[in-house]
Amino acid sequence: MCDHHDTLRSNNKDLQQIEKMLDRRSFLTKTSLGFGALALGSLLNADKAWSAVKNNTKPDLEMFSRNDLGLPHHLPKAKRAIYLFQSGGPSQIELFDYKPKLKNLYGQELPDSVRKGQRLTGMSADQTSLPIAPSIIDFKQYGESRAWISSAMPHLSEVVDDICFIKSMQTDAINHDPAITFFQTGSQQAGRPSIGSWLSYGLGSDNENLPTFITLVSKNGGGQPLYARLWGNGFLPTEHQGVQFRSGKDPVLYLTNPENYDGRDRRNMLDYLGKLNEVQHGFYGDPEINARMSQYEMAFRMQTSIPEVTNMSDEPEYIFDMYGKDSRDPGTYAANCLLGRKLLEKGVKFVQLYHQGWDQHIGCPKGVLGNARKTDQANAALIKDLKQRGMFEDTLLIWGGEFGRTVYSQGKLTATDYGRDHHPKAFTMFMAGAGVKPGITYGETDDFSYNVIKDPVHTHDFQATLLHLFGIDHERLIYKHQGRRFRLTDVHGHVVKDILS
Amino acid sequence: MNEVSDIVLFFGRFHPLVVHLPIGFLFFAFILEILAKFQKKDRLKVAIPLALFLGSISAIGACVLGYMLSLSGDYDSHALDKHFWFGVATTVLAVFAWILKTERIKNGIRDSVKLNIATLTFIVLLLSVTGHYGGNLTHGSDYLTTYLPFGKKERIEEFKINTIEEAQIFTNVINPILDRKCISCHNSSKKKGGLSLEGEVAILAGGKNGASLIAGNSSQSEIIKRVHLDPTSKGFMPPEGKTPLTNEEIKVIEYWIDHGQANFELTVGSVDTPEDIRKILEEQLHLNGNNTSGVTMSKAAEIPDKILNKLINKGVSIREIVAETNQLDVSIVSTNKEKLSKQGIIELLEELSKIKNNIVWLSLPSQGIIDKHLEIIGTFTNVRRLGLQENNISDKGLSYLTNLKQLESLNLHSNTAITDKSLQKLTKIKNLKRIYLWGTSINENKIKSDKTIF
Repeated sequence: MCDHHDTLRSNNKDLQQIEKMLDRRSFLTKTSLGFGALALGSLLNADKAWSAVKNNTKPDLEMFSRNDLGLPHHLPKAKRAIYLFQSGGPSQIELFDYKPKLKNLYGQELPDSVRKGQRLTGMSADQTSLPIAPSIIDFKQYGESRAWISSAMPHLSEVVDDICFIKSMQTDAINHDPAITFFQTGSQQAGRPSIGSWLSYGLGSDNENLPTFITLVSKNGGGQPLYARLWGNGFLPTEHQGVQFRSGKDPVLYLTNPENYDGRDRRNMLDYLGKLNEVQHGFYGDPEINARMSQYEMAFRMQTSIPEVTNMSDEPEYIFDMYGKDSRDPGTYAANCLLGRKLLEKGVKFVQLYHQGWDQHIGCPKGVLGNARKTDQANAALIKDLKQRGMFEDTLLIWGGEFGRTVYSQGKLTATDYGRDHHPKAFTMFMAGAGVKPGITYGETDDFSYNVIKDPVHTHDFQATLLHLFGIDHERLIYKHQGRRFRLTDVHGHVVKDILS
Repeated sequence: MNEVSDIVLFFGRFHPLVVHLPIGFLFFAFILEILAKFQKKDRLKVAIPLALFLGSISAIGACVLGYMLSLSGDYDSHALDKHFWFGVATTVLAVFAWILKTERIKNGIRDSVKLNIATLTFIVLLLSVTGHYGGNLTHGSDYLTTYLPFGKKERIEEFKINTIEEAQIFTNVINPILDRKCISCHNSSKKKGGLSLEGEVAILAGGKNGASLIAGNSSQSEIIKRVHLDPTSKGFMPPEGKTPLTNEEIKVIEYWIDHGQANFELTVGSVDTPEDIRKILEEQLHLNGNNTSGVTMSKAAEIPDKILNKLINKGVSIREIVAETNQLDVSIVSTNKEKLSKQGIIELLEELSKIKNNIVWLSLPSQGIIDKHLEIIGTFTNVRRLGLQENNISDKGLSYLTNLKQLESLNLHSNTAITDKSLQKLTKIKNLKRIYLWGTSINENKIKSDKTIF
């Protein structure tokens, strides 16, 4: 009988404590003298709990605490990062991966020797023909690094010498949901912590008045949906989830005090609430109670810090001009880039931007140009702005989507229009800033931008490299959950040393 | 060496099996004798002669089989001799003990109990020694002691390799492969097929089937021929049950024989190395991306937590740049904190100067810092990154910073009073690489400097 004990116990140490409190054996121990003892027992317990609270009522003195995970493992190059996620799958063929030979192959069938039986999505699998669609957008080389950029990104072409283009990205998933989830959490199935949550868990906060991990979704995107789990904490403690700032007037809801309430006794209210929660925690030991308490405290501090940091009135005109006219309209991609910079400046460790709308199944040239117009100037401005403020040396900037697009046209191919389907086997991303070699292009694709022929970089390799730049060995940032040890890179990933400066 | 007939070797190989019988029987005889003597269990005495008899017979059998096995010539003769003679001695003694016990010789010294125990103790000792030498022959002489908990570890510190070019092909790559996959059967004491792969001399000496290596010709080298055979065939190496070489390991050995002429001293850098081989070498040498070690930092002096706690309560954010190095990244983010007075800043800086040797990155943006304050900051000589943007510093204050020999990056943006003159002073800091001067009166395009100016 007694042996059942272990099998019924949870793997989580914190929960084991609770289970010990609740199990039959301790119940019988406590009640061995009858219900009188039970009553006394609970009285004594309650007393204990209260005295614990009494000692802790004024936790005002903050203590220096070393990172108890032993992080960073090595000298970090990046202190903070901004990830400009281009949701939908931007077409590498229209933007960065210049393929002049395709011009002569216009309309021809994609050779089987290139496709090599690669699976297609349900959207183009039924097509009787897969005609090659060369890009109708022009390319030129720019900067000392002679990087190829299409005319869709005129502003980015000014800063190519600060950028490391990775043209050989690869992912495992072919549809939006699993592909984005894979990029953000290292697994195609939902439920794992996102990159920002891992960083928050591993490295902690640089400014206790703001969340460590903030998500901004631009309002001028639209297209495939995003979901809160992309910035979710998975099984990590809840305070590590990304806090999403809304695009409206109030970036964070319910921070302003309600009408007719001046908020002066809020501190008292929170202190008493804290005591009550402390009692609960003393009794149940549920770690989520602590997480909730720290979030109440964070919300309280954000009442003053958020209005300050989201206040755009202290930005000079020429900064708005630099980011483009959209940047005056809160919630647009450009405005979010500017806000992102302000957040980074104030000690936020990881800012995750999302811009939807890169899913050009039809009307590819027009769609790409439209999205580029909304994002290009802000991308370049962000790089310039970080540089002039001295932040570029310890801020990592990442641009990329969840996959690329096919060389063949989805739907009808005409001289001026075509669509492109999802393509996971080769696409382009770029990184810039802290610890990344500036002005290089890494990896190559074949003449069809269909297969990687040199230096492939898998999604897990990208994630490993990102953690490496923060001083983290991706194989050693581990969280044990349900009896298994989890990493952002699962059991994969190699740091791409060739792109590190 | 004369060819030994297969049937002899076939039986010989039963030696390691049969040899355990006398060990068991003779030990058991010893135990019976002890029990009979000290616990007065006389009934046990009856079994002793039988145990000794079986022990003697099986010992003789083991000796014969052992001799047959030794004819194969796979073993180092010196170590073999010891094992052989100790084995024979054990057998002779076992027979003697049996004769004694069964009282087949009547003699004067039949004070048999003591004699029996003495003989049996001696047998046990001999058994142990023989067994030990036998074990050394099969597993290698350091088999027992390799993982000895208290003994001194004689594992050779590997020479740390930083680039693939400086790696010695044999020492750093080939030898570890041989160690993993071959050496357990081809070593100086157990030379299967007459071949030992322990060290340059032995490898060059080759085995029964001739030279193991032919420099420049891997396909004719026995060592490569054998690993390319059909895995089910008799000569395939390593034999069935052992872990075969991976394709990568084979490729690297071929590369060493063909490109490196099987030279034992060559480094990778001195040989023409194809790209795919480089990849494999990187993997073998742990120099590839999977090698996760980054740049580490040395350890600085310990800091009392009291000082750190005091600073944190003043709103300073402190973290270790690398865990457990005491090298600190110190910053103040101005959000939601009341601005400090000039005196307040001085107090803060004086507090910081108590840990100044630990501060490597220091960031104090928009804190109202003026020239006077730089006098204190100028003594923080370990600072490598200094962020003083959006303060009220002028040219005068920057002369205090010239003592910061370690300084690599200096952020002065939006300190409006700074002019060209300050740059003269800053060029004295040799290590300084990046200066941020945006929002000052300096036009970075007009000035010349060896530093990168933003």
